[in-house]
Amino acid sequence: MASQIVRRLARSRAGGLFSSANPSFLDRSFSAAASDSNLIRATLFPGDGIGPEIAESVKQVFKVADVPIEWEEHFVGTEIDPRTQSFLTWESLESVRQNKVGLKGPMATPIGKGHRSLNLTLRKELNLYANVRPCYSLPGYKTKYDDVDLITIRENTEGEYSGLEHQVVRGVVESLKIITRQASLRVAEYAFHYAKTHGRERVSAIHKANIMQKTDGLFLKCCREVAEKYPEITYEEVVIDNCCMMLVKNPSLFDVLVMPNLYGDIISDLCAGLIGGLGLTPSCNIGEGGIALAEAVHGSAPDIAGKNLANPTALLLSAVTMLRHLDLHDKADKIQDAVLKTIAEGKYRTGDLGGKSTTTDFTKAICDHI
Amino acid sequence: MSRRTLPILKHLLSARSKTTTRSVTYMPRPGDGTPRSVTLIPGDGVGPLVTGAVEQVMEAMHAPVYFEKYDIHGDMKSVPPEVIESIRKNKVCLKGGLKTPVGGGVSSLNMLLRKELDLYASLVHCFNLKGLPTRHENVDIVVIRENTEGEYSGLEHEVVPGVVESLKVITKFCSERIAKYAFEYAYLNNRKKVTAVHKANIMKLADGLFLESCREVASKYPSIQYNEMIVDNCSMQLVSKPEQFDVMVTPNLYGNLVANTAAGIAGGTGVMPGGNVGADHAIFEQGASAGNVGNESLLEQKKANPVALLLSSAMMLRHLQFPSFADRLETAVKRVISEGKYRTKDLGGDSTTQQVVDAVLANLD
Repeated sequence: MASQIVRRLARSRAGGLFSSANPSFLDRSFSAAASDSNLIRATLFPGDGIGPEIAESVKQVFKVADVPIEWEEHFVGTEIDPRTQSFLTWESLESVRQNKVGLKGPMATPIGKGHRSLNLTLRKELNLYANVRPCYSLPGYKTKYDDVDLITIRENTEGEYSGLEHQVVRGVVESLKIITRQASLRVAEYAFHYAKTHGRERVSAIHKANIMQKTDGLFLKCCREVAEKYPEITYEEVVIDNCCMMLVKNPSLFDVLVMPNLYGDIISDLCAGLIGGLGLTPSCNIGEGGIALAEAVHGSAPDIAGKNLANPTALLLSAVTMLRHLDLHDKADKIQDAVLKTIAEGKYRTGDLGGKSTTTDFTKAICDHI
Repeated sequence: MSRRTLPILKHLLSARSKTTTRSVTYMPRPGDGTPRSVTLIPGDGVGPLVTGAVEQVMEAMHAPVYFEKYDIHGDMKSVPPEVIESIRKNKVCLKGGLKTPVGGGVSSLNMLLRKELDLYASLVHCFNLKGLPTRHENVDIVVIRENTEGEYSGLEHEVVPGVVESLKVITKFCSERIAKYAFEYAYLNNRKKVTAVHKANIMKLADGLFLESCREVASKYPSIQYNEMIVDNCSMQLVSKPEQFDVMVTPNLYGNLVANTAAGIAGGTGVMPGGNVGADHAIFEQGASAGNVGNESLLEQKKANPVALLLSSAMMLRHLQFPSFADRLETAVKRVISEGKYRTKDLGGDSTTQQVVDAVLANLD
């Protein structure tokens, strides 16, 4: 009880201007911290293909590290649930809404008609508005870029991906790009809040407002408004073609990047490519009401499913992001250090990193390092 | 005996000091040596500096071109009609960067020029230069980008306060002609593969139409390999394995990003040539658009990189059918870069623009 009071005081002091404006609502909406010192319930979607194996790895590592999380597993159903119009059941979604944190493995959308894709269902039902991808070079895994340390925050609901297209006349197609003040403010608020809580110094907004003056102009206006509330964080605006070029020449120039949907998609995958691919990149989706759903962005790799060859790094690092969202920073650091050390040593590496270990060996090595 | 060995010795020694000996002869049509007039637009920022460099080199080579200079700036409301008239008459233009004010009510003059003259293909050639160290080897990518429609239609409106819509327009006509240009380019330049970059899994109708046009044109060129790649995967591959790409054809926005990324990995936008071409006219400028106006410190210290515009002017000379001048210019520039003594700041050196130009002039043979 005393620890709760101290924690709340510390948070409000760190929030400063931000929290004094709207204390309880915003605090709760961004970090669903442990409400009691017992176990936190978290939803786990193992997913398809290599999903169950890497989910096992995560559970093992968490057990060894003594993380106070109780997993509630949900699987994708085999028939369409009419309440959600997809293979995800209503119970799964409700559980995420209640627990407010979740971890999702790779899900392969079954091909067919009459249902929404699984990722789209999750996004729309849980109102996941920001996709956060921390990209940092893994020491010991050499790529052509060694000094990457940036975070891409991408608006996830609107922009060019609204899916509103129509054929005007034969041979002419129009596609709508929508930018709203509400969504832009939301993601900008989250970006600056994230920068502040993780000790980042610079936020760069990526845009193409010299051509798309009203749409990206509105996005920039919202970012500027939020930037004024955080005078200690440097804010800059970079045109996207400049940004692409600077990223491939010198990625250390950037710190936190906030962008609308399409640019975010391209830039976050470009940054993933800089550090070694999607098999190593963590990712976390933030939703309204403080929901955080960490996920592994790689595919389900059906060709190596069940063979104990999968690389659990992406899912482990995503779980670490989830722990940081829950303010369990010491556990998060422990696990992250263990993973990085194991990869740096190079003795136990799975096939995609150039080694020959199995998933279980790799997991055991990480557990030993904790 | 010494009378015979002396010329042989001279020939042997001189052949070793020359780095290129051409044995190709170009046969011009009668009357092709008369000077051609070319519109020159210095532009904003470092534009006048680098176009000045081109003028100096053309002068020194006695190239059969003379420039008609017109001064426009990025914040003008529209391109003055006499400039358009001049470009229509000359059919060829060389241009520095025009700065588009961010967020202002002025539409980009670069876009206006392209739409007015219907320059539907924008081409950037990104390649590793010998002597310029980069993180990626074996890069030789040509990005061909549709230049008139797509996301850059400029059709935006505010639906209600706080909600703005922007239209992305894709037409079969434009997609077909850019696909045709890309495959013709690949065929005429002995390129083996064309990759179409898209996001048709999300924008099914718009990019789907673009892909359909590309596929139709691809079927007419069976000797050229064709494949399709989603734009986010493409940017990841560009950063890790760029050697798999040859010619890339893209709609407007993705082309901008892909071209700048490719230019960045191959050595920077300061060295990549490119241009915009249409059925009747062509405008040559620095290939990738990032940084073509430069910033104030570059302008003050006069350290802008003229290499991109020099290589683009070599492309222009070939377009005007003066290939030997183009070859001489390119050889001189490449020699300066490979020697590495005179390099501007973006290539890791410390020279001014004028020093690089002087080095190129010295290396012209």
